Amino acid sequence: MEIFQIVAIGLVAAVLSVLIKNQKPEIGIYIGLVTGVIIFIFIAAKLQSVIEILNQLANKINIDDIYLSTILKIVGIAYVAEFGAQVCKDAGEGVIASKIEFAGKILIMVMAVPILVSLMDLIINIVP
Amino acid sequence: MIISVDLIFKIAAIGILVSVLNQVLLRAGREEQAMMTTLAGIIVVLMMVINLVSDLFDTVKTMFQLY
Amino acid sequence: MNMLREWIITITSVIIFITFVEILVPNSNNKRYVNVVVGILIMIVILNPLFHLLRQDINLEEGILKASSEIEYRAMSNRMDSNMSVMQKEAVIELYKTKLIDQMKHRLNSTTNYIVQDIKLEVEETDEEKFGTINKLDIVLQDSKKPETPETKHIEPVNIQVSINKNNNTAETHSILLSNEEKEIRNSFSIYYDVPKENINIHILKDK
Repeated sequence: MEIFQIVAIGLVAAVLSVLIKNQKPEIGIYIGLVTGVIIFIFIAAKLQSVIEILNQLANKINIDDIYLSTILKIVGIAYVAEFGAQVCKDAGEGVIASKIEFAGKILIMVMAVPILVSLMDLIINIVP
Repeated sequence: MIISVDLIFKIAAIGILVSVLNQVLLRAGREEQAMMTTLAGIIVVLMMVINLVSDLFDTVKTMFQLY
Repeated sequence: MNMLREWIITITSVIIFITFVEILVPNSNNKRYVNVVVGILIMIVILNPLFHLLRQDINLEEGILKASSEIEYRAMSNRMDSNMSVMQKEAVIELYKTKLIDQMKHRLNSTTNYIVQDIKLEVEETDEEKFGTINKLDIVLQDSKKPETPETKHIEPVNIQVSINKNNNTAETHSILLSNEEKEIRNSFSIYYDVPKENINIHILKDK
């Protein structure tokens, strides 16, 4: 079961991180960052198959491709933005973290707005 | 690049090494050299980590179709 | 009755689908945005049959594509306005083209049986008003291995003139004569991307 390995890695890294942060906070950032990345890459294969299943499911349902692709992109942006913001917060840089989150939100909006706008257009045109 | 858990231990080891060197140099009175070893340690770890982070971004890009 | 049944099935499957997507999303402030888009998706799915009833056509997907490409070239033109050097302008145009091409390839690969070999795109760059609209589109497709070949079995080398201005670019491709699928692709692309039909050229390769 992979969950044990992941929790083990996480715990070891947490202990090391506390140890190092007292002496060298700079290296402490790296430990947090690297652990996060390693755990994500570890689990990436499973994530990939989940996404493929979602794709197949969406194809069966006859929703248009663009909806699933938009949702997936928004989830991706949210994930990466949250990752970056958390690392910055752990390093104590709240300012940078909040700006990263802000940028993530704007990008998500850019992705979501076309759907909203075209839906509104359609509704306005439907009612004569 | 082969990613393994060893990377975490390597970074921790470099961290401990750098902090020890730092303390020794401080006590010996060589402050500039202490600072330089700290800086060197940070840059070395950065080099080690940057490939990993680029890998992460590539993975997320392909997975969520975010080209 | 049949439509009603399909409608209900679609709605329940969409809700199941959304449950899975919600698991996947990280618990962050951005979760709300995912909920918004997902909610809109549910609305669209529920309202779809209604649109079919009231109107004969469903222009929802084209609307979305148009809106998203409009946003992209507005963003690009905003970047233009801010005193950029010519090289950066070229880079932004290239980026825009690549994005459009990716979108088209994705669309072709998923909806038709053909594999996309190459797509060449010409975008209006000089005229300020029509900046960003597509002038010319060349698509080269390859037939994926399907046992059912169309009825016309004879394959002849065809010289095709591929240009709107008078310089003679001739491309020689072995192609099966214009089949219906090509016309469909051409029609749908000319509607989605707002390109006049004569400027879209589709070549289908078939290799032995």
